[in-house]
This record gives sequence, C-alpha cells and structure tokens, in this order.
Amino acid sequence: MTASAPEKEAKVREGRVFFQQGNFAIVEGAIAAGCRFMAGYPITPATEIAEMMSRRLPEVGGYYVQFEDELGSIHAVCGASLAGAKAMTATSGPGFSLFHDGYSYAIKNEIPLVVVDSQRVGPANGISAHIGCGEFYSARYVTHGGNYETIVLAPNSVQEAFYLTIDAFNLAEIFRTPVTLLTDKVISDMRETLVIPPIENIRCVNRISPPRDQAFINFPLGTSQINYPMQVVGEHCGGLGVCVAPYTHTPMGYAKEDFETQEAMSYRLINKIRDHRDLILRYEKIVDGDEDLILVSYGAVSRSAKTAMAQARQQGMKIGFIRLISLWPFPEELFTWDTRYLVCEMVYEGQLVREVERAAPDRRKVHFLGKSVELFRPSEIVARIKEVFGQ
Amino acid sequence: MRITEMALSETYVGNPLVEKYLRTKNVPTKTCTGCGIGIIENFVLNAMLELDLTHEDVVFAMGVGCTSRQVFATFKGDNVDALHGRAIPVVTAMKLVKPHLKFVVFTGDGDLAAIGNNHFVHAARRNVDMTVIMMNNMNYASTSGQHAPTTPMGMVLQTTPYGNDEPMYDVCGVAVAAGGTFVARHTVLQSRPTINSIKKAIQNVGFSFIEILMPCPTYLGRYALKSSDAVACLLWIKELARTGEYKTGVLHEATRAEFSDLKRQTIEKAQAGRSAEGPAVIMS
Repeated sequence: MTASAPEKEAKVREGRVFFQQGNFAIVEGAIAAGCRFMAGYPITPATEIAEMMSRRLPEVGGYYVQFEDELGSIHAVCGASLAGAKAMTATSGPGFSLFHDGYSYAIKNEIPLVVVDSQRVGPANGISAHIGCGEFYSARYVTHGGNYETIVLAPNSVQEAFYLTIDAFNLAEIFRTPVTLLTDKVISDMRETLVIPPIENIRCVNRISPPRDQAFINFPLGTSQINYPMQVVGEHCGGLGVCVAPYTHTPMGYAKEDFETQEAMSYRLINKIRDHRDLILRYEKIVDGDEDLILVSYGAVSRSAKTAMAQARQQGMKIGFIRLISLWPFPEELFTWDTRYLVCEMVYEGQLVREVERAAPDRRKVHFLGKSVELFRPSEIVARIKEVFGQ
Repeated sequence: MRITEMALSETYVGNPLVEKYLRTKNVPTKTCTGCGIGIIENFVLNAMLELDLTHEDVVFAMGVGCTSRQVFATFKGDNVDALHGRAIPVVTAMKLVKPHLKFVVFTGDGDLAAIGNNHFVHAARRNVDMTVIMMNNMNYASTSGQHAPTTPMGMVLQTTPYGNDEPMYDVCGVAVAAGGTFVARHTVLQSRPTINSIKKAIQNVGFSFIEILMPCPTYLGRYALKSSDAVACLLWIKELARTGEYKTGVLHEATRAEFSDLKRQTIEKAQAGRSAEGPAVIMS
C-alpha cells in the first residue's frame, strides 16, 4: 500500500480514458470504492463533487442529500455509516470548520467515513476561487479535546485523486475512523488525463459486521486492533443493538465518565493508528544521497517544486524532492538525513515547515517559502534555493 | 431497596414494559426526583406495546441534555445518541439506508429548538419519516437551569436574573409551518391522549412532532416557581393546560410524500434514464 503514484499508474494502462477535473476523479473514485451516500453543501471549489454525486449516486442506487449546512452534512454521514453505508461529504475551508463538530463524534465512536477538503485561501471566506493550503494542521487537530490520531491524504494529480479517494475509503474501513482527503483548489479544478480501470481491478475493503444475536464488544478498548467488525444500526448484529454515545464510552458503547474508561478509550483511538502507520504511509521521494537541499511539499505545490528541482539540477545544483502523500500521521522518518530542507507551502506563516523542523536533525537547516492565492512559479522556488545557498 | 441498589440489580422488575423493552441493567436512571422524563419514556413504551412493535422495529436516537442522558442506552435495540442538536440529521441519513425501520428521536427543548432548530425545520420540510418527541422542561436543566427559547417571558432563571426578556418560541407552530405531517402537544399529566398521539406519530409515514411539557422541580421549580416540590410543578403545568395558555391536543395532521420514498423514486428515474443517456462510467 506504500506504492507511489507513478508505480500505480504503470499498473493500470487499460481502462477508460478521460480528460477531466480532480473533482470528477474524486467522485468516480468514491463510486468505485463503494460509496453510496453523500451529504453535500455547495462550496467553491468542491461544488462539482456535490453536483456530480447528485447525478452519479442515484445511478448506482445511492443517495445524495443536500443538507441545510455542513453541520447537518457531517452528522448525516455519521448516520449513514452507522446504518452500514459507505459515506462521504466534501467541502472547502469554511465548511471544514463546521465539520469539526461531527468529526469528533466520528473519531470517538469509530465511524468510518471520508471527508474531502478542497483547500482555498483563508482565513474566513478568504478568496473563494484561489488556492491556499491552510488546513495542514487543522486536518490533524480537526476537532477539540485531543486524545486522537487522524489519517490525512493529499493528492497532487487528477489520477492520484482517483486512487487516493479509494484508499481513503479503504483506510476508513480498516481503521474504523474518518479519513480526510486534503486536496486543494488547483487539483480540484484542473483537468488532465484520468484512466479509470475496470471495476474488477479495484480492491475495496468492505464493512465487516459481527454475527446476529451474539454478544459482541463494539469498541475493543485497550487494544489497537484494526479490521475490527462494526455493529450496524438495524441489523441486530452483536446482541442487543448498537449503543453510540457522545460521552466517553465503555466497550459496549455505554456512556461512562471516569478516569479508567477515558484512558482506555483514548489509547484505543491513538494506538490503532500509531501501531499501523505503515499501512497509511505514502510519499514520493527523489533523493540520490548527495543532495545539498531537498524540496519538501504536498498537493499542487509539489508540481511546481518538482519542475523547480529539474530546473535547478539543469543549472548544476544538487537538489532532491520529497512529496508527502499521507500527511498524518506525520512521516518523521523521511527527514532523518542531516541536510538542508526547503519547505514550499501555500500559506504565509508556514505549517508543514514546523513539522519538518521538528523532525529534521538540525532545524537551522530547514528553510521556508510561503505564498498564497497563486501557485508558485518554478523560477520563484529556484530563486529561493539560490538565496538559501547564499546564506 | 435504595435506587442505587436497584440500578445494580439485574433482576429489577418495576414494570412489565421494562422486561420487554429495556436493558434492565441500565434502569432506573439517575433522573432527579419528580422529573418527567421517565413518565414520557413510559408513554413511548406503552405506545410500542399497543402497536405490537418490538425493539427490533424501532431505532432510538437522542441528542445532548437531560432527556438524552436519561433515556440513552436504556432501550434494547439500537440507541444512537448524537451530539448536541444533531440527532435529526443522523436519523435522516439512517432512514435512507434502513428505510424499513421506525425512528424515534428523544430530544429536549434546548437540543431541538435552539441548537438543533435548523435541522428540525428542514427535516419537517423534507417530511422525513421519524417521530420527534421534544420533552419540554422550559430550561437547560443538564447545565443547571439556564433559560431556553421555550422559557416563558419574565421567568427568572440562572441566565435571566432580571426576568426573561425574550419571547417564547412556538415550536409546534414552526413544525406545522415547516411541513410536519403530524404535530401534537401534551403535558405529562395527559397519559392516554399522549400515548394515543405517540401511536399516531409512529404510524404516520412522515415527520411527526410531539411536544410534551414536563416538570423540572430541581431547576425550573426551584428558580422560577420558587418550589422544588414535584407536585407543585405538576399543578403549575396542569393549570397552564387547563387555562389554554398552553394549548394541548393534536394540532395538525396531513398526508404528504415522504422523503425516503421520494429519494427512491429519484433512483428509479436515474436508473431508467441510464440506458438512454449513458453514464460517465459503467460500474457494476
């Protein structure tokens, strides 16, 4: 599952070929992964996901419901998933803030679902149709209260958006947790070649339910077990029926507010992800071992960074390239080499750069280039590389 | 036997309905003396018994507040307790995925009329098949007695020390206006009419809303009525209903296409048109 995007692309050359948007790829990825419920709310630049899902889901026997707000959407997705459907919702920054409410409920109650956040400039409404990537941390610390780990994936092409959407649904089922697909305005809106392989070539992880009328522990607190069955509403699997509470819960799902239960529940939520982070880790790395500087980025920015790397190499500089595909859990192991890092991000204050500073052996060698509204020109990144070398 | 001992005992039988419908380990709950929540839960169980429904036919959903805390996990079958005000969107989605089930939402006046109001209005508009029972104690009792949208004007509570200066919310009126297809209002003192309304609400294929005024001696009684005596609270409620200040009875009944039925029609429409237009991608 750690195969990088180019390897995956090589595997599937057959299939239907499209010249399409990232949002289209996300929709078709979701349908291919078995998504049959979407709660939507229009917001630029994720609106097309709602539009296309409203057409596609009924075709495959699924439901699209446009809710009164993002709060309604995220909770409806929780409900659909509790009732056994694979479900998703999609939004941009302003709606993502409203998702924080239901996201915590889904994390705590181990409800698999997929949230797409197509990032745009902020804060507040910012500039609606321009790129900005300010949700690196807010996708990790997606809600109040702490005591959890999150899974966040970030595509950098239309083709990868298709595969990562399927991965997001699969990881959600494997870990019984919400997964965020953190894309951005550029990937959502841009068009490029998309190959959709035959459905039988797509591996889907489906929900496992416990047997009917047999006592079952819905929340295996104190373990980090994954691929764990889930009680489904209305199917009376696992004895008495589902109990899902907003408060700290016991293994049976009963609300219990005490120290021991809180500790067991928190470590369950944290360790099920930490202990299996190799299943989540995805990245692209072009490093030969003699580089003087490594460019670090994710999402659409990585396309500028990769071109900048090629241009700098042509000019004789030894430049490497690391692109994060899975953002969280953060891949510290990619930054153990003691060299210079230049982190390029679509925010001015720098977010990813702080994590790289934390992971790198020498934080004085970690440099930053920030921008907003418009993607980097490769020449801007090359200029910054020269500046770093001049320092 | 003291309450705590009863709660721990697996053999507690106070009512034949308990054996049939409740998780005996989880009852009785920790409601205050004189609280109306248990009475209303009893009405619902009676309605289910008279309709010959089992715990497998009904999914119970709740939000946050006194109501939700006390009824959650007491029922055999599915208990889905959502975050504050969010039971309705959770149930809306569950109804689509599991359309053969009946859904009963227990909610309080703060949970529904304040934080969850937007969802409530739109579920009524969509006519989603669910029965929403709003237990109205006219205050936020779980957080110890602050005023709610349902608090009468002039009433002194923890956040209205000079008297409530906001007008009261007519929740049933909004349920009717938004398109609910069964709307009734009762008090905990009207057992037979309330049970009958709950039966009608569960049988109605569409959005049913029942507001039930109940006593809260611990907070509304103590702060607003200057007596935490349960009987005094009940008498005050009885007087409100008798004078017509609080109009009770079935307020609205209508027939209208139900949400999940319409959504399935959409699927049929989409699948019929599929061969003609051709989908973007053919999936099995």
